[in-house]
Amino acid sequence: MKFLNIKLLVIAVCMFAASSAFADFSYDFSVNTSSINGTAGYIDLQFNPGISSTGSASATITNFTSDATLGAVTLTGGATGALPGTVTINNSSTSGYNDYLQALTFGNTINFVVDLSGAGVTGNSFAISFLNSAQTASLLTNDPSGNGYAATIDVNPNAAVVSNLSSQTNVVTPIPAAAYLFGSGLMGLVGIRRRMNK
Amino acid sequence: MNTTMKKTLAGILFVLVFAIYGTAAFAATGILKTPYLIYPGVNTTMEVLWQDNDTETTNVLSWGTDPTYTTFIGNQTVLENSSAANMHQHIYTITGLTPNTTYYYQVVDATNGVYTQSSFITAPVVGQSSIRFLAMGDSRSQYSALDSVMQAMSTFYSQPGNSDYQRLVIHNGDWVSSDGESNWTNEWFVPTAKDIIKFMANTPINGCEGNHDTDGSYPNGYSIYWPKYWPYPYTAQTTYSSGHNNNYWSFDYGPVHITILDEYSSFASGSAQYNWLVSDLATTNQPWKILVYHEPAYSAGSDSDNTTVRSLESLVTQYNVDLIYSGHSHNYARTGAYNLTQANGDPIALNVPHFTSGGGGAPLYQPDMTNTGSYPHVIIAWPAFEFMTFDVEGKILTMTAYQVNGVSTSSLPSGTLTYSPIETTVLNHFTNVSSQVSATSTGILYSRLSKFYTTNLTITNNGTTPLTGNIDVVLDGMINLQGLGTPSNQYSTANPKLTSMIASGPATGRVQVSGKYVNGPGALISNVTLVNATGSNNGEPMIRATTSGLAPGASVTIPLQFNAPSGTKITFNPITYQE
Repeated sequence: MKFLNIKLLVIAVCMFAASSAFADFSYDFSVNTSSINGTAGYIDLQFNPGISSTGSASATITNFTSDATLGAVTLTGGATGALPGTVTINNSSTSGYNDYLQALTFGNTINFVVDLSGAGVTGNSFAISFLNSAQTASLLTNDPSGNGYAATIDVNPNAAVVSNLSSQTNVVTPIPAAAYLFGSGLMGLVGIRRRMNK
Repeated sequence: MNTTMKKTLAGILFVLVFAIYGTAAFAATGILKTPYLIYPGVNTTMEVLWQDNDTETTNVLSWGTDPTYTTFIGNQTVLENSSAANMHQHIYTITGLTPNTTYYYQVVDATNGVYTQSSFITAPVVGQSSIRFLAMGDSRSQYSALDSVMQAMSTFYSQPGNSDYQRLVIHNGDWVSSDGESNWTNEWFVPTAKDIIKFMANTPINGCEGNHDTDGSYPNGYSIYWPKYWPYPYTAQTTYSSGHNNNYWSFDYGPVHITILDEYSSFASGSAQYNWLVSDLATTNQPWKILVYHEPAYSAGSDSDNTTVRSLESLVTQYNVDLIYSGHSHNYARTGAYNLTQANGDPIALNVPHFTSGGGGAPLYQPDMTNTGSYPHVIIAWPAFEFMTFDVEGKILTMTAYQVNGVSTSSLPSGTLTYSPIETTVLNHFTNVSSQVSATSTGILYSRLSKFYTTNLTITNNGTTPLTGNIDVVLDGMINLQGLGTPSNQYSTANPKLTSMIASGPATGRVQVSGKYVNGPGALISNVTLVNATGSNNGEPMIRATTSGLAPGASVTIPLQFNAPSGTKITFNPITYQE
């Protein structure tokens, strides 16, 4: 019985952690840059709150891999870090926007993971765009608005919405670790139920 | 004489006859003050006035709806009211007219010829929810500038779609530089000022007296010649010294109640004028209330503000007066405050625009926009010869101030002058339904490429009752986008009167703020792009989110774009209104 209680406690912790972790939104980005291989330009990542967002939130960029040649970094607002390492963009700017801009010479691919998280993540938006070296034209975009985004993610109250505005950019929602936690928790509960039935 | 010569001579004869007749129409022998109009306040009437010389002749006023002046409904011989020197006035109130109708009238002197052939539009029917009229003030001393402003107003209402504005003009005082007979002759009723003559003959002028139209003193100021030439139906005019005081009165014009004060007779609490004002504002059933007096409580200078009249601000608040229309300082200005912080201890009625429209012809003054010292609460000001338009459409009152271009202060205009808008102000009587809705937005992203912030604003009806008709959203507090708002330019959320100020309210989807004016009135459509072109501060936008209401639980999403070249952060607080 004592063993069972400990097991139930572990499962409850797992499920609690899982429910908290579900507030995060994780996406795998894969961008085919082969059409502009050798071109100098910029990658521009941005994470900003809307009027209805409350509390802090951030976009964390990890697992960056690319054959691009990376150059100088410009950090604006709540952006910190440098690719290919971890970059964090907090929604903290009080005077403008939160933005990570890095010069690069494009290769064939760019891959990374974006995790949108924080107590105030709802009502925030993430955007990625690619610019030419003069920052006068956008690359790899079909954005009809003229704003030049390759993709945007809006974290709405009920769900996040991905707008893929580039045929070269692939945005995939991976199965989150939280789901594994939650699933294992459920399986544990089923196992305990069976054991009790026996 | 061949046929060609006969035709030529006939043509010359025709031209000569026409020229003689035309000359007589505007400068007929015997006429001293050409015919002009007053709206007496009853929508089936119009008052026609003129003054001729010492020899009484038979003057016949005829009116009808025939624009060729051939057939008339009425013909009336009008005798002079006095044969004393400088009198010889002819005053006649036409009655039995049909509201909302254009009438053509003429005044013919049997001896001296045609004094005028003109037209007027009668006042609206009772209960009419829409109306348009014009307004101006401070016309004194430079009649060539007054002629220019009146020409511009005539041109304005002659444009397609603008004919309604011919109905009425409000004058906020200082008609002439001094209350003397010669001033009226030489500054207002100038025989060579053809645009003044034309405008006065076609548009009734209702107004108040200014300090220059009286002896200028308070509380026992009096006027001799202003009430002589503008004998409005004063409520309780009294005789004082050699003239009259207590020249206050009011009238309805469609859905608008216009209250005209005499600032040179006592309006202190307990005075006859004060008690009348309270009663007048308390008893009117019209949804729109305009208070007119000459010397503004709050202006942009450089004539001093009238600090005494500030005592009436509490009545403005108590009786939901929508705006105050004044002159005195010779420029255009809009002053106001939206909360006690902005009022800064002054007794200014919150959420009520105080207009100064003193560019009617007098020498212009440079406004003081520092909001320090003698002139607090200035939102916008502009030194120009100008006039204003008022357009009431149900729950929306749109006002635009127009600058008259190319005005000469020393010679009458030789051609057609142009005019251009200074700014548009919109007031509304909508219902604030913000407590029933939620307003959320996506993150406000900034494009380094386009320099635009973009977001999607979603309005959801969280209530159990449907919202119907037009639903509008004000982007309140957009104080961080230079050029589109300042703290003193915010919308009012006060109940029950939901007046608001908006200088940027075009009816199209794109707002181009261009320094001192914006284009067009009304609420915005969705897909709004707000552009700051010059760094001026011109108010907050109102967006029409939907025209078909919102059922319980229903949402509408509005894409917004804000042009921000420097990337300065955008913040705003949506306030949702049901029209």
